[in-house]
Amino acid sequence: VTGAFLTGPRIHLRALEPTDAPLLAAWRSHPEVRRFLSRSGPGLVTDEEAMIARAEQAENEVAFGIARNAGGTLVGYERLRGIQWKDRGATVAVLLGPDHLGSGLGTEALELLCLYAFDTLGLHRLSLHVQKDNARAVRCYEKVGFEVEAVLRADRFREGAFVDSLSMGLLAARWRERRAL
Amino acid sequence: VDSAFLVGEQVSLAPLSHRHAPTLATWMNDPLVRRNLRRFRPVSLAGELYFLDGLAREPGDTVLGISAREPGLPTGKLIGVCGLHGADPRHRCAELGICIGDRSAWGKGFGTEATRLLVRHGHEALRLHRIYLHVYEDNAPAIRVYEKVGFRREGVLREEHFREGRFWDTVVMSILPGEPT
Repeated sequence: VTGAFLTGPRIHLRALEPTDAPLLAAWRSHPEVRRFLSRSGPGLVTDEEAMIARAEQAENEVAFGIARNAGGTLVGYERLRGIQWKDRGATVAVLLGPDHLGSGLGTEALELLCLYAFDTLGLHRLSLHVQKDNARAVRCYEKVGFEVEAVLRADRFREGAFVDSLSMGLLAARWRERRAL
Repeated sequence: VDSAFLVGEQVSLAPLSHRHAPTLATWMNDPLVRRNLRRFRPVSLAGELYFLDGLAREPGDTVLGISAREPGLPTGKLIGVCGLHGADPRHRCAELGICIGDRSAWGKGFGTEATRLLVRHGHEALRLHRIYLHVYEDNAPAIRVYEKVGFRREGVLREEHFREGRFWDTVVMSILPGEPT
């Protein structure tokens, strides 16, 4: 509706609309997706509507919908959260719909998010937590340049057992270095 | 049906309404448009409506849409937006802002005429004294427009804004009543 904000080879980032909320909620409920989410309850449309509204108005948050260049289908969304303007850091979250897991579109979207975070916002460091056995996600973060900084032991409870999480980080200097290669 | 508020040969200026929000949001998301602007977040339709409502509540602001005049149409096609902001009742100064969001309308003199109309309105109707503006150092087409209209360069704010991975200078310009336009 409101055009592409940043465009990559296969996908673009755009503003999220309140009308996207039902799709986001459905994704959150899907077993394949919610398996690795720390908030594992059913997706609620009202929660997603609130997230979309807050992300646009909050000082320390930015959210993007990830849409295919061909046809404009929404395939996921991603966010910068807890932006600390003094320390110039933020945390990153990416969520893809169940039909798009493993498509490589998440990597492309994360590259654009890093470009925005480092070159437009002037951030210095991005970080995230991911469950250790979420191999697909870990590979995606590593491809973009994130490095494992810590193993958080028995950090999450899932499917009847505690599992480790990884704390990963990416510095602006490292990201620029990799892009220059 | 809108009626024009200020009418020139090529453009007319008229108040904005909610129905302009999709066009405005699309412009604000366009990388080539927003690189010259202070807004840096993705703008949704809902967000743009909220922004428009906020503008309407600012007593010191005059915000007008710019339309290319076409025969037979009262206001023509919306190509941009401009305004006088923060009019100070005691010092009689205000900041001018203008954006031609429709890229197909660039380089045709629309911005020059709209700026002239707005400056004349500021000086003659609002009885403003100093009308000033801030423009990014590398926005040469805009600086040329402002010089043509009669704005004088007052100085450079060194490394005043951050974008595209570094700090850039910002140029300050102003025009006083009676200066040639």
